[in-house]
Amino acid sequence: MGDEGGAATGEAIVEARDLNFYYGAKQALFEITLAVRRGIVTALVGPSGCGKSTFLRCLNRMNDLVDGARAVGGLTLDGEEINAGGRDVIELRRRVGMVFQKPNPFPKSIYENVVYGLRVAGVRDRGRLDAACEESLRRAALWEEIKDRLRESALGLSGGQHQRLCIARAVAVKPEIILMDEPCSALDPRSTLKIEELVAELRGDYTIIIVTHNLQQAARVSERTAFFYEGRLVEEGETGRLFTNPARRETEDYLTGRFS
Amino acid sequence: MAGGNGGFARDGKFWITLFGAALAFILLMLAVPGYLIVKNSLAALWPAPLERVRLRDGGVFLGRRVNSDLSPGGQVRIQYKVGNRELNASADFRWVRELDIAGIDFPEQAVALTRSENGDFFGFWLEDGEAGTGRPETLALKLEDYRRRREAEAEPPRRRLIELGERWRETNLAILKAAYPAESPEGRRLAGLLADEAEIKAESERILGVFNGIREDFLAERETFAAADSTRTLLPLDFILEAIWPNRLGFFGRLAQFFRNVRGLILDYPRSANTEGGLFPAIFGTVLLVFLMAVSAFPLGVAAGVYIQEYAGNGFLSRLARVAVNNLAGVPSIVYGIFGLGFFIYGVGGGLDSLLYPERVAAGINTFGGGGMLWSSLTLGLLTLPVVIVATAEALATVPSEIRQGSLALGATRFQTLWRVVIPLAAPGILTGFILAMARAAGEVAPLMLTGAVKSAHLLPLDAEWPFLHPERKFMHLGFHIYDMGFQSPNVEASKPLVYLTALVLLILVFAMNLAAICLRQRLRNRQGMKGL
Ligand SMILES: Nc1ncnc2c1ncn2[C@@H]1O[C@H](COP(=O)(O)OP(=O)(O)OP(=O)(O)O)[C@@H](O)[C@H]1O
Ligand SMILES: [Mg+2]
Repeated sequence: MGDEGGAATGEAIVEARDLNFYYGAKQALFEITLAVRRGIVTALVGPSGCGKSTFLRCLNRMNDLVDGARAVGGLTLDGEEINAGGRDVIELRRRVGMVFQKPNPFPKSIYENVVYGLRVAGVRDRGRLDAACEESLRRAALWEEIKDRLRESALGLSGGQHQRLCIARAVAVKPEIILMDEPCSALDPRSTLKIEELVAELRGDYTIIIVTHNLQQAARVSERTAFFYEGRLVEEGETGRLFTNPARRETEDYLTGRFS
Repeated sequence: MAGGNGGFARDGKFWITLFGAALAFILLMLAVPGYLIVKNSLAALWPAPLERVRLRDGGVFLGRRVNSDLSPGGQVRIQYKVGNRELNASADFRWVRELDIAGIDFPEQAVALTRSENGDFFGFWLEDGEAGTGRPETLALKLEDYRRRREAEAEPPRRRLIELGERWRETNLAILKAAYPAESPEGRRLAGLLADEAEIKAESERILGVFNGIREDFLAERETFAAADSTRTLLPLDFILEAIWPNRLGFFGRLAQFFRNVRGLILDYPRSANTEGGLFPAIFGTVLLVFLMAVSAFPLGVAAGVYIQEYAGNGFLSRLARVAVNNLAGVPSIVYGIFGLGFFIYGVGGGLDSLLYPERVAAGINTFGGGGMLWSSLTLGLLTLPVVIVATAEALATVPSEIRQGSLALGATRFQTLWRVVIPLAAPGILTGFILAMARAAGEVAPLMLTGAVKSAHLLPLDAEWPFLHPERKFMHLGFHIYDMGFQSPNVEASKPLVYLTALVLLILVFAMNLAAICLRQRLRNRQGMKGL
């Protein structure tokens, strides 16, 4: 699905080159150079405050909402500069979806939640909306559970269902990339498992970048892992290799729990 | 915790008790006037039996017991409504000491008349001039027959007179217009109009003569009534609006009469310089005023609140605007009234008049340049704006940022996010603020006194006459009515029951508006799937 233009899985879809990021005077990212590959799951790990979320939010320019935030350096999506002056942010965000740490369903019906992205994009056709709703909910493994309750308020669902609904909502606009910022940290173990299965399910069709503090989770769901430390990218590589045989001292310290 | 020294204060019981006491005090402060209003209102509406009180000094009167208390001397005093204003030197009420009462009975024959003049009459009907013979059925038949004849004979000329009066007014305005400016080329039109006017005037006079003749005949139909002390009086049937025999009524008869009284209160026009009759124009004026106020203030206030909170940023100017709005909420309402008078009436209204009706201005006639429904509702709208703005801004501020971000991350613009997600979420909070503002506005009197409320207005600002809504008309208002009856009435004592009733109606109205708004808010919340208030 994300493979339009014949681009093959494994090629770089996002490339950061010497990316620096500042919150006003405070620098949050230093010289990040990283290629995220198409169609696979990339995990971002690292201690709290190391800049994982900041990096993630650079990709769909959610940092624009912060006063005084500023990115310097190269950051491309499909070879096009993300921070270019005339870039259409709305179009960018349709291509780069996001799932937040805390499930944030809208206070609307389940149906309206799922088709929200399409509605704001101007889609009016009932049939298209219905089809997109069903397909997205199926992809999010939610259809069977709630197909009879589409008109009910989304707020009546459980926390785990909320998060899957948010994933369905992101999937409905058919993005190329889905960013997930600690999507399971507010969920119980069973819901977490479901989300992990879902990520595995979506892999291949979408490029997924997931931030997690749970190293087992990173090991379970991702093909590649990037380790951030104090605003710098320390090491990036194939997940199995990085976990068993880290190249850098900081990575090893972090993996063995010497700091967190 | 408990049991130690000072445990009472330390474990918070002291404070909880104190807070509880504060709440109890407030409830008491609400309950006392509430009780007084309800009690006196019910007493005024309930058709209690008529008591014939014989006094030790030989005096006797008929009255309806309304109140009793302990006089300063420690004696029990009873207050009676005695009616018969023309016989009792205008005193509707009378206090007597229980000591002075020799005996009380409830004569079956006692009748209570509601009259179009001089308030109630309590006494006996002397059918054929003889004492003790008046039968209720006969009087009812007489009244019914009388009214049927009056409707058939006097109504048509009366209606025609009203119609002619209206046409005369319109023609006069047209004459003013045709004659302005003086050397206007519309001389021929003017001549035609003047001829019309003369014709209208002539017909009016002719019909007035006919009408007065008919009326005199009708007024001549009189019946003899006697007060408890046998003073006889001849009352034209025309003055009698309702005759009831309270001492013949059973409980359900009383209940039915009670509801008839309630209906009269709500649907009738005031009589006898507002001391009698109903509150219809005042209720109507109040509801329409609040409605127009809401229609003008709500969209403006919400728009301003949205702008301040979502778009104005946090610069010096926008902070200044916030402070200004907050302070506006504390400006005394009379100041708004003066502003309304100066800006809306003299400024905008006067400007409109000189633009649309220069001929009327020249003749000293106001149309928009005088107080009226429109200017009053706009003044009230201005008064409530700050509350609506602040409530809107605060409701928007409480919408969690995750929800906004969720919408933006899906490719929604800021405006789409605001319109589709943020405002619906904030709507219950905005509505709450608006409810408060509306309740305040409904009870506001001071600004209305300057901008168009009057003690008596028999033309409603909304009626079946084109263009239906007459925003330039003056209007009656419950709050102003209370003030007028309580402090400006020539007969304050007589209007007291109506003061209580008016206060009750105003309270019920405010309460009903709040309730409606709360239900609306609840429905909004339920639709979003949120629970609780
Ligand atoms: N809006 C902001 N304004 C200023 N500084 C910020 C802002 N958001 C984040 N920071 C700072 O930027 C740095 C990186 O934060 P970021 O949220 O990206 O870390 P993280 O790796 O996601 O942490 P966590 O694992 O706790 O989510 C931190 O030092 C943080 O304090
Ligand atoms: Mg984070």
